[in-house]
Amino acid sequence: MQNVKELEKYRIGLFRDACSMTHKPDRTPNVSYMVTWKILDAGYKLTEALSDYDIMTKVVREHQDKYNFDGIIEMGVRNQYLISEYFGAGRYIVDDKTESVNFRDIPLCESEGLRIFADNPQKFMWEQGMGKMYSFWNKPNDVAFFQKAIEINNGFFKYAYAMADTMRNEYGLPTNVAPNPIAQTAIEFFFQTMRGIKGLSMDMRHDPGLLDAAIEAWNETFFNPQLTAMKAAKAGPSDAACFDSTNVLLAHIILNTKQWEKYYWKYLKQVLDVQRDKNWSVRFFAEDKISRFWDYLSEYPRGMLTIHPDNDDIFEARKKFPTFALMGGMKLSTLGMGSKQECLDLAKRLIDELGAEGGYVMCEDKMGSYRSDANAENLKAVCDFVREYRPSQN
Amino acid sequence: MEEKYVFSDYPSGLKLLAEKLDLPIPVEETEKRENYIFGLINAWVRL
Repeated sequence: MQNVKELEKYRIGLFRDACSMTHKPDRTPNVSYMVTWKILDAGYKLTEALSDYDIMTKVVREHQDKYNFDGIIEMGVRNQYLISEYFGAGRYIVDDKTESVNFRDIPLCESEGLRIFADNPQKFMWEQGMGKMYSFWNKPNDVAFFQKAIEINNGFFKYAYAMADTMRNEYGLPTNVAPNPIAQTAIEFFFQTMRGIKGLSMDMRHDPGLLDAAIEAWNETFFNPQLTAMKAAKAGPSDAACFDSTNVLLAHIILNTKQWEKYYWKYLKQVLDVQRDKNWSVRFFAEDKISRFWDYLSEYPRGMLTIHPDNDDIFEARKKFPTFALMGGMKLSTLGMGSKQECLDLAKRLIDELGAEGGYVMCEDKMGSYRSDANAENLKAVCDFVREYRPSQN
Repeated sequence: MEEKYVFSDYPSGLKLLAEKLDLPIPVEETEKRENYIFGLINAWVRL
């Protein structure tokens, strides 16, 4: 297939057919979830690629040249390294010797901060949040400092758009998710950014009333307007992307069922209901394990969700969700440590058992971060296999 | 040498930045300029 427009259309069709579970796709679509691994695979140091968009562009191009995926989840935009370094935040710990990227966890406040947030979220973000994150914030600064920050910030987005355009126009690689609005739940913000694991766990037990007030403030300022924007977005499947929306969950890992229902499901359901009403195809990725809450998803219609498990067993997910597509299951542990034959056996089993008639998207089970996460020859063999394999013809 | 300011008080810091920065929004559209800056702050606290 020489024409990149035709190739892009073909690839989008693979996703749409596989995920809707109404048409059998020509073959199983194959997605890359390799993140910093691809920098190392391309022969660059992490610091080189993270601080130079020309190098990152070469990395992403080489990734596609070498493996020829149908979709790439991450095109060098996972880590906003340059702006963080400019601010001197020390947020990223990038080590070229150990070939690792770590992220320093900095909760924005102690529990008292919830009260300030509940009173005025904007004031909290401006004074407490920025003050906690950046030592420069409370000192005198010239306007040029912020002008330069905006320039660096814009540079990141300029790269992101240009990279996506390049992959679409030169490689026929579609956009992964359509640019539809999404509403972030309070619990995810409090968990990931504001309070951290320990802080939020204590808030739920020690002062649930204060947490409720902070959630209400979050909803009024952020969640409800974002939900309104989702409702105003165009309905129906995009003809220019593999998925229409995506939900990524992390905070569920510390919640029991009662907490899940109160702090998470109540709001996630509102998001899912809009996604259902819009007839959007949604990638649903939950970090670690979420199978204890799988029952809550059962009410949604056939083909709406594509479940991408992290540490849950994908074959168990197929039993639980006969009407949802599944994504993932290509274990990094096998790609990294297994033989080529073991990788091919796993790839064949995933397609045969999860999506011989559609309903499956090949992808790694986790973000590929470290060199040992995949042997390049194994990954190449799997990609070549998936591109050629047609279960019904074998 | 350029003059220095403390921008960390809300809302005075926001208003000052909205007034001083060169943004892709006309100076008379104050609310849009403030929203633009607040969008950046919301992103930067999550970096």
